[in-house]
Amino acid sequence: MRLRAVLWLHSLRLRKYVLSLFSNALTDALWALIPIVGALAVGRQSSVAEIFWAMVAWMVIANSAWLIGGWLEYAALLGVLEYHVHASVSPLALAAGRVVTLLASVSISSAIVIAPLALLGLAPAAADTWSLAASLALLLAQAVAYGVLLAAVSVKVGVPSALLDIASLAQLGLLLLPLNPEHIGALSLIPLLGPAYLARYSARTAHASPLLAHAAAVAATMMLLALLAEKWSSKLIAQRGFRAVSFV
Amino acid sequence: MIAVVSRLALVKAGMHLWLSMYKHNKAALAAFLARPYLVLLFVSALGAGQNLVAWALLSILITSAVDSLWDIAGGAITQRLLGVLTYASLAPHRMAEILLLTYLPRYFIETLVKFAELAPLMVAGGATPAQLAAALALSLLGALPLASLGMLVASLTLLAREDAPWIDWTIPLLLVASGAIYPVAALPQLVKAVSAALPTTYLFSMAEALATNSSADWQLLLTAFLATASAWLTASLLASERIESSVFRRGGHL
Repeated sequence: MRLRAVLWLHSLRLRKYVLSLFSNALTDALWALIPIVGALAVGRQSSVAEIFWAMVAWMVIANSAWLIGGWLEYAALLGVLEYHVHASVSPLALAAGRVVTLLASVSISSAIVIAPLALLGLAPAAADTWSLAASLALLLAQAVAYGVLLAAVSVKVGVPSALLDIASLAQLGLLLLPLNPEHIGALSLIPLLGPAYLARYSARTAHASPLLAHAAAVAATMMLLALLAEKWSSKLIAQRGFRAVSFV
Repeated sequence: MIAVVSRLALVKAGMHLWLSMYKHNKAALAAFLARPYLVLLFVSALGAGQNLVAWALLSILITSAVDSLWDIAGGAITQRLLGVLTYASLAPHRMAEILLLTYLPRYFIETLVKFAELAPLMVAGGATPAQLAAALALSLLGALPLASLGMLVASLTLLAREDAPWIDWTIPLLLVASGAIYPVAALPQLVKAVSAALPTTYLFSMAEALATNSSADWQLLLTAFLATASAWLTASLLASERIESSVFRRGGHL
C-alpha cells in the first residue's frame, strides 16, 4: 500500500510538472545527439547504435544522481519529509520512487533521439537484444541503488543536489572512450559503468551474456549497501532531523 | 548615487552568501573543486578542441555556461521554496536584478578558482603568460551573455510554477550553435545564421584562436562579442521585466 502511494505521488508529480519532465528529457536527448551527430559527420555510421545505447545508459546514470539523489534536499526544502516519517514512509524509499520519473524521462529522451535516426534509416539495433535488455535492467538496479546512496550521503553531508551529478560528467566522457573487447571482463565489474559498457558491447557483438553475472553481482552488492544506507540514514534522521536550508 | 550603492550592497551580500556557503559546506567545496577536471574528461572524450590548452579553456567556459543558467534559475526556485522570494516583490530592485547581482560574485569567484585549477594544465600544454592572461579574461567575460540567459530562464521557470529550470535544453543548443563542441563551419547553413547572432560564438572563436595560437581578427571578434552580448543583456532585461510582472501578478513567487 505504501509502495503504491509513493508511486502514485511521483506519477502525479509527472503530470503536474510536465514542462520540467519534457525539458529534462529534451536536454538529455540533445546532449545524446551531440556525439551521435559527431560520429555521423565523420562517416562512422556503423558506430551510431553503440553510441546511442551508451548515451541511453548515461541518461539512466545521470538521472539517478539528479532525480533520486537530489530528491531529499528538495523534499526537505518543501518541508514534507517529516510527514512521511510520521506515516512510517522511509524518506529514502520515497526518493527511490523517483525511478518512475527517471524511466519516463529516459523513455522520452530515447524516443526523441531515435526519431531523426529512424528518418535517416539508422534506427539503433543491437547484435544481442537480450543481453542489451538485461544490461540496461541491471544498470537501472545499480542506478537506483546509487541514487539512494547519494541521497543517504546528502543527509549526512548536505551536498547541494546540483553538485551531486558531477560524477555523471566524467562517466559521460568515460562511456564514450574506445571500448577494447579484451578489457570488457574487468570493465563490467565497475559500478554503473560496467552494465553501461555491456549495453554498448551488446550493440556490437553477441558475446556479452557471460559477463552479465559480473554486473548482477555488483548490482546485488550495491542494493545491499543501499539498504544498509537507508537504515543508517533513517537512524540519523531520527536523531537530528533534516537540514532544510541549502543552496541549489 | 544611492542606486549604485544599493546595487553594490547586493553584490557584497552575494559574495558573503557564497563564501559562507563554501566555508560551512566542505563537501560542496570538494565537489566544486573536482568538477572542472571531470568536465575536462568529458570535453577530451568528445574530441572537442585540439590541445590541452583548448580542453582546459573549453572546460571552464562550458562549466560556466551550464552553471550560469542552473545557478540563477535554481537560486530563484530555492528562494521560492524557502519562502523568501516574496520579499523580492517588496525590494527596491527588480527580482531579476537581485538574482543577477547576488550571483555575479559567485560567478567571478568560481571562475577564478576553476582557472587556477586548470592553469597548470594550460602551462603544461605550452601556454605563454600572455595566453594565460587572455584565457582568464575570456573566462570572466563569458558571464555577460550567459547571465542574461540565466535571468530569462529564472523568470520563465517561476512563471510556469515548475520545480526545475524548464528551458535548460537551450544550453546544449547554445553550445553546439556557438561552435563549442564542433566548428561553426561544419554546421548547417540555418544554424550558421543563428550562430552569427550568438555572443558565445565569438567567445568560443576567441578561445579557439587563443588555444591554437592561430591568426584571428581579435578586434572584430571582441567587437562582435561585446555588441551581441550587450544586445542580449538588454533584450533579456526588457523581456524578464515583462515576465516578472506576470510572475508577481499570478503569484509565481509564492
